[in-house]
Amino acid sequence: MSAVLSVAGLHAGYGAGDILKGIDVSLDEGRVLTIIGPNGSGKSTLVKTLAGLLPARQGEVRLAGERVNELSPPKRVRRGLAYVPQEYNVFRNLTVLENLRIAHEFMGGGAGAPLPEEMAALFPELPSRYPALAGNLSGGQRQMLAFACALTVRPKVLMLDEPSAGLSPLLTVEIFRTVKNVNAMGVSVLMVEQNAIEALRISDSCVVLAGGRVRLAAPAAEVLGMKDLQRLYLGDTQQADGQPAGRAAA
Amino acid sequence: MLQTAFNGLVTGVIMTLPALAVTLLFGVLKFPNFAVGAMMTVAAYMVFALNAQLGWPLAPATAVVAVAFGGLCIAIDQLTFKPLRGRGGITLMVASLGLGFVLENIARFAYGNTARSFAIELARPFRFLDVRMNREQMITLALSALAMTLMWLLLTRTPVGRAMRAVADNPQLALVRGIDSERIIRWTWFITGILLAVGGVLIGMDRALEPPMGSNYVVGVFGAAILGGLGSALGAFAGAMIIGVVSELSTLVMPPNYRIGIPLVAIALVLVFRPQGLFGQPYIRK
Amino acid sequence: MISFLVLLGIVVCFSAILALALNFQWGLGGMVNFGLAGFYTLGAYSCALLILKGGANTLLAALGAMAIVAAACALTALVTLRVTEEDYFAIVTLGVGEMLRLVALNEDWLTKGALGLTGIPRPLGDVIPADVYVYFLLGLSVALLLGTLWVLNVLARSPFGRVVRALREDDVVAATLGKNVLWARVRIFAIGGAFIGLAGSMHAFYYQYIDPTQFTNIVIAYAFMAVIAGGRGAHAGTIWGAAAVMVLLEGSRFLKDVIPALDSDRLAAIRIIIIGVGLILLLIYRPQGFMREYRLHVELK
Repeated sequence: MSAVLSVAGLHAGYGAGDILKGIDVSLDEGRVLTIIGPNGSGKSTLVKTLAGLLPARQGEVRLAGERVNELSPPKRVRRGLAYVPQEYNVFRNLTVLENLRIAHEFMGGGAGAPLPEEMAALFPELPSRYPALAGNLSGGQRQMLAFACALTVRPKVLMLDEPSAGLSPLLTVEIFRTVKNVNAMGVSVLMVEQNAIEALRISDSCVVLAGGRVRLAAPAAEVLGMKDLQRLYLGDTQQADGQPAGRAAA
Repeated sequence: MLQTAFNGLVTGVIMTLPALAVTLLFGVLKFPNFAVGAMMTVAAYMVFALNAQLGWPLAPATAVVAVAFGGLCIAIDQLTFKPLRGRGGITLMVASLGLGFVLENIARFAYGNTARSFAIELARPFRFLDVRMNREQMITLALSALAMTLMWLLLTRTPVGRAMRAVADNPQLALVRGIDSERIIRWTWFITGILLAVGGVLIGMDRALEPPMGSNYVVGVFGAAILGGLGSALGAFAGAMIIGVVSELSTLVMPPNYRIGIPLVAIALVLVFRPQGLFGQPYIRK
Repeated sequence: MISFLVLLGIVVCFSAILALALNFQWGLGGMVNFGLAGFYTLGAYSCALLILKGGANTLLAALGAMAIVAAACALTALVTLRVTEEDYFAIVTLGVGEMLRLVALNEDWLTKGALGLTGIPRPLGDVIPADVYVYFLLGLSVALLLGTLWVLNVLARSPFGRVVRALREDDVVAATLGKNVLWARVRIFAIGGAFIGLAGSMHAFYYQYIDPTQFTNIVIAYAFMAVIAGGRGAHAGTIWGAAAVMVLLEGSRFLKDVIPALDSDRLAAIRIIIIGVGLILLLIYRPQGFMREYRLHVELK
């Protein structure tokens, strides 16, 4: 299985110091990779850098074997690297339909785009809300819209930054189910999540990030089984038996 | 009174195009551009050159200059604002102020301080419902209505227009949705340039052509854009109409030289009671 | 030649005070004053009118002008109290500045409109012999400049100054502390206003005749250029910036001798174009930007 997204020796940061201190990550084609770690470990920074919003100070990012370091975010998107930010991930002052149209018009659509039937199956709620302002949607609906936009063209890789943030447990289940369905369509997924248990359940592999470095890279099932790891890295509110005690605010 | 109101209508319509320009530029470039007044001045003088000096009729002269000026604005942006992208709002504002000085004085250097007028046939004013109107005002109303309609269509029905609104809404998200921000910025300047060129001609028809002609409107136009809500095209229109009509009506009770007080008061009221303006975006993210 | 340099020195001094005032309002208070020309006009006219119509002596007139401009600035800042966003503040100050200049131009009964006010006396003009007076005026101007520098530095160093500076860096803290911060900003704007008034008074004394054309937007451009050219650091930078800008621009008056084909209107236009372009170039190539910090000590040479 070849790596559709590979990251080697990545360094990046906002100010004087580096937040990412040499990251190596590899996502195989058709798989789901979840990145977990405590707050401040650099998870969001990593995804932003991969998306091209933050320059890589050192290291290399390759999409389907091709180096993308020099590409601007729009160019990366058109090569097939889609990104859904954690917050402000829809154009709030534009309607649902306009959000989707923009995605279709600018993300390099065409032959690979999913058929309307596929989209309708994944996002049944959206068509009825086409004329609504995206800002007026509920949190869960906005998240779905953000997904739908990212998928309007069939990306090679979909990167999600905390997709379940701020959502109720019921919606969280729905989100992860959608992610799994998207993956079944052939989209490789890289996810950053705080809600580790749920995310790992649908993932193939897992990377644990802390202090800007990779601490562990292992199959998801293996990580799920680690009791010590759970207590340390899977969120503040985990109980010893691995059951989530309730989701803390992101 | 009705006459004054009509004059206010015309003034409001004249201010709509630059108010639209201001609001578009603010939405996409994220700062108030104080050079818009002087830009209108330069464009008006360019039309003057073709019209009064080379003998072209006003309409084709305006059309040609409008397109050329759109291109000129792109060039100006590349030289002046592009090197400053990402710097703070104040830097950009001061740069726009400096640019305004430069443009206004290029006009002054080329044409001096004496007032000029376009070469258009004199037509007798006519009366309608006891209100005196002239042909220039009719042209102004028609042209502005056309421009506003086209703008609305552009913003809502074309990919470029949608992209402009997207960039105004959330520049970072626009990037990851495949929108090339520099390309959109160039488009915005092109469109803005056309709006400002036509606006300049309308001012030149309404009053005279002199170097401060555009700058005189800066405070009023910004007042209109802020009243209507920065970033909202409909707001630019509404704000301009309100400020235009109220400014003219105010001359019935106040000395006319202080018309500039009206937009100032409007801005003060907006800031105190409703910072997002009448139609400002419900969801603002700085 | 010497007398030209002395006169230039005087102009540099009050231009520098104006630039320092702008720097104070902007660098410390974070409030950019695009209405500078208008407040400067207010200062000059207030001083002149207090003498010519109010019968005050030059000292009282200058102090009065300082108070008036300070009050005007305080009022302006109060209006934007609720929204401290720099965009809106800039536009409001621009508008207020325009209004003030319109008043000077139009209220003939008070300001003689476009004709201007003549016969403004100079401080101690009767007492000091005419042939040495310019040296006295130069000395006075330098003293006032140094005094301004000292006062502004003391203020910046004071607890008041430190609080505003800290709060300017961190909006969240500012928001939680609420009103206190905003009042501090009003005070800063007012204090800067007082020194604008001082510069305006000195302008009136120097030229002895004022009319609205002296106060066009070039004033703002000069001051901004001085502040930007001065770069980061102590106010001293601003002063050197003001000196440099003034020398360049007053010196460019000699262009007329070099290029006789240009009439005065055209020449004036070229000078402004040079200023505008210079301003933009400074902005592009001076990456330090504007958030100049007030050092805790003054370095003068």
